[in-house]
Amino acid sequence: MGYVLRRVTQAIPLLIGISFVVFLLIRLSGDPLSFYVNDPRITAEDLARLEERFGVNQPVHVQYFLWVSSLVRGDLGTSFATGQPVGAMIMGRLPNSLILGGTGFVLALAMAIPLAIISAVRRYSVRDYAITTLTFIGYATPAFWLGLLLILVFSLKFREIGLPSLPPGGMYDLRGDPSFAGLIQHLIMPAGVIALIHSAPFVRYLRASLMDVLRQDYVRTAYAKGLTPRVVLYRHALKNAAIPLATVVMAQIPYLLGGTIVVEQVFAWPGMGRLFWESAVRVDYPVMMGILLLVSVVVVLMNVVADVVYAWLDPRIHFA
Amino acid sequence: MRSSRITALSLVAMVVFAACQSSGGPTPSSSGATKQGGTIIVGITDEPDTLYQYASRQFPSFYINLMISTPLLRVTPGNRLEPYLATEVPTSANGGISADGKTITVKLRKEAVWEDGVPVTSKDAAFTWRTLTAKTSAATSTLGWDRIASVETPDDQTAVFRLTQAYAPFVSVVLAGQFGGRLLPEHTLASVADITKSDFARKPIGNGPFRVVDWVSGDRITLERNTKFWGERASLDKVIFKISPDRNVLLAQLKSKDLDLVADLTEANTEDMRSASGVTVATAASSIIELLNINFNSPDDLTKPHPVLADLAVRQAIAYGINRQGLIDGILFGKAKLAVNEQDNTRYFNTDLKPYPFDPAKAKATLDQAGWTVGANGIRAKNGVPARLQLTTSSGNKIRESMQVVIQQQLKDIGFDIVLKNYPPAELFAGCAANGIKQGRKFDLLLDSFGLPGLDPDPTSFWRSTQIPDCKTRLAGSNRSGFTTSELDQLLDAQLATADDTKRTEIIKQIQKIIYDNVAALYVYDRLSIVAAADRVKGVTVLPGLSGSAFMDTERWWVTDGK
Repeated sequence: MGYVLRRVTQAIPLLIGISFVVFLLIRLSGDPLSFYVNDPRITAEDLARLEERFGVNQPVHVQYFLWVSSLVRGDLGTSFATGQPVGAMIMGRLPNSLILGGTGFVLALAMAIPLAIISAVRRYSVRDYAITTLTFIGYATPAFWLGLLLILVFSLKFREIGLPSLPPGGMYDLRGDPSFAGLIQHLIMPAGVIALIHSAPFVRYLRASLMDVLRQDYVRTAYAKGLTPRVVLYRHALKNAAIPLATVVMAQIPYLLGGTIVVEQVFAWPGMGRLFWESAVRVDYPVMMGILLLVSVVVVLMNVVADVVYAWLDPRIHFA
Repeated sequence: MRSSRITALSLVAMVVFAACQSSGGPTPSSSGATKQGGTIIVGITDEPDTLYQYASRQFPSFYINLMISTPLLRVTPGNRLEPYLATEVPTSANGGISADGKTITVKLRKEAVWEDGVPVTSKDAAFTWRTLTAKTSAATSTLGWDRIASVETPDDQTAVFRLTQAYAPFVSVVLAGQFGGRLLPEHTLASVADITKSDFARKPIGNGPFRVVDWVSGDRITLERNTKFWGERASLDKVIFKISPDRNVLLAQLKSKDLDLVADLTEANTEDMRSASGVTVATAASSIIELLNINFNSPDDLTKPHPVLADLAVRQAIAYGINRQGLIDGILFGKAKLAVNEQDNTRYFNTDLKPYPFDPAKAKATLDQAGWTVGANGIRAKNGVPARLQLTTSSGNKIRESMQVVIQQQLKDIGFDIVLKNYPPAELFAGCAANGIKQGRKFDLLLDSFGLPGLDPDPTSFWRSTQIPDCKTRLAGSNRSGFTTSELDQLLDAQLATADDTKRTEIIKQIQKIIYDNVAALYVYDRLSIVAAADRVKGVTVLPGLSGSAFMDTERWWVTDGK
């Protein structure tokens, strides 16, 4: 408990450091007034008024200080583009990202674990090579390409030839009322893309560590005691082999928040990744900062959680 | 004079007609066989930022505003104005515009009501002016509104705008068009401190044929027929704006009929859409023009003339040396019109001006005569200054990058050394604070676009000397070429103060001739407004020279199956 507390406390200066660097980087990324400058209707007076309104006429360190001081009061600021509070904008999108990312993640694990087991137990067999080849293809496939391909086949072609088809994008039906069944239908393809692409590293990690564990003395002992291969594999080997996977999985969780940009973009999924992308295009500093801060916090937290889970899974590790 | 204007108008009307015909596009439904009811799903790639239109920077927001609020004056095919929320178009003849051009009187329709049933009054007009020009206003532009000294409201139907000085564009900028002429409801907004942060920004109160009922962030915005609308009842029950950020997916959805209508297509998409079954494409020249900006000053020191481009012969040679029609045919499949200037789709266009022909021999002769002689390396020079220029455009824009390479080769052929130097849009188009390339005029030749922002032909922001940005003393302004003459300034001011449309048109034609004769910019082609719709959608009109024109009379949209 003391360890967890200490780690969290240590994270605070880290987060402050991250926020400052990110703030500077975002400032260098573009000019929120560029939209206005390129509108021939804008007068010099308009420009001055808008600079004042957005507070971008002040020095960067003052802007940063103002941002931090309102953050301390729990206010992430107001979007330049929409005028809405950044917190509310993020909260409007976060659940959608979690639904998509979470489903994709669970599917990825559900696919990866059995594949890795087959691959490790029957190593260097035809099945192993087939799985290995597939995972490398999964590694290398760009999400936007796979997404477009799926839409083309399962939405457009299937409908053309009269087969039951999947909706090409969005989260709910446009012509009817939102429903759970509709949500599932809309979720299949984007979550499938995330699962396919993300299961690849999981398979690789679990396969490697399982192969390692299966060579250990205690596994041989278990076999020598006359236990069935099934019991040896599932009760003894798998739990230990899962330890490195746990770290990988924890490290991937922040990805759910913003890393599904491409999939959200292709499937018109109203998630946070897209919000970040749109904000970047609009040079909407406050929204970009809010999302990056949230992701940073989750990354740091997940690192702590990964360490704790590690200790829980592996009794050999102790944190003083 | 009168007859020439009528000819110009009918010409524009013919262009509309031809544009619709040639593409087999949707034609206005005057047949009366319109079906009632049904839903149309419009696909958009960019989600609106805010639906408070005066603060928005995004086209879809402005499409929706065209549907939910009626302008005082609206544009009809032929780009004429007709009264809409107002009872007549103010002119000097009907007394709507005073003799000195400083007082404009507008009468509002008695029957006009907001969607909540409250009458639209002249107080709303006064409120709109106060709101837009307030010190803390969120409005992107206050152009035109900032010329108003006061708004008087002698009765609920009469608004009297008193201007600080005569301003000819007032009617087309403030009272009409795509951007102006829309009032804000005082009764809902009077107590609101910042409209962009209020509910109005997400669910505005309008007075048009439709009203916004729902906005699901990142997904859709739903509009329904406004049952209290005072004008022509909309045929459709519902119009849904579906946000589909990936353009490829958007087009696939249109082909699969998941979407009914897509408005912001590019020239590159038209062939693909035309070949799709069940989809009709309508095109018209838009107000946006692709052009080669020419810097008259040295990008290293803007106080000095440009060592190469300040020479008229060089600019003329560039005009003769580039095969612009060839660019259109080769890169745009001939789908665009060679441009002369930003007015060439308006009735203000000086039809005496013809595009500079492609004539490399003449280009070479012009340069020879001016003393730009060819050196050993094939590159011309004059007084030791080599004819070396940077050609800049926005990286990632495939059409521009393709054109750029061809232009480079053609200018090489007549003796220029052209170096390509591109920037990502974020850097190229940034403002002075972020060292923007365009605004800071750090280019020799820049291939990009510009256009008249609305109905009015006023080109002041592009050509007046006071509109040359320098990032030290003047951060705003769109005269990035830096071309200026005192005669031009005088003419620009004169057209602003000339209320008589015929006289004003003559001055604007003179301005065009100066720009043309001096090759102050080399216009390449008029971009197209392209609207693609499913065949079941009828009643959509696209007007030339007006962005978003398809959304101006949505009450006439209908679907053949009534669904």
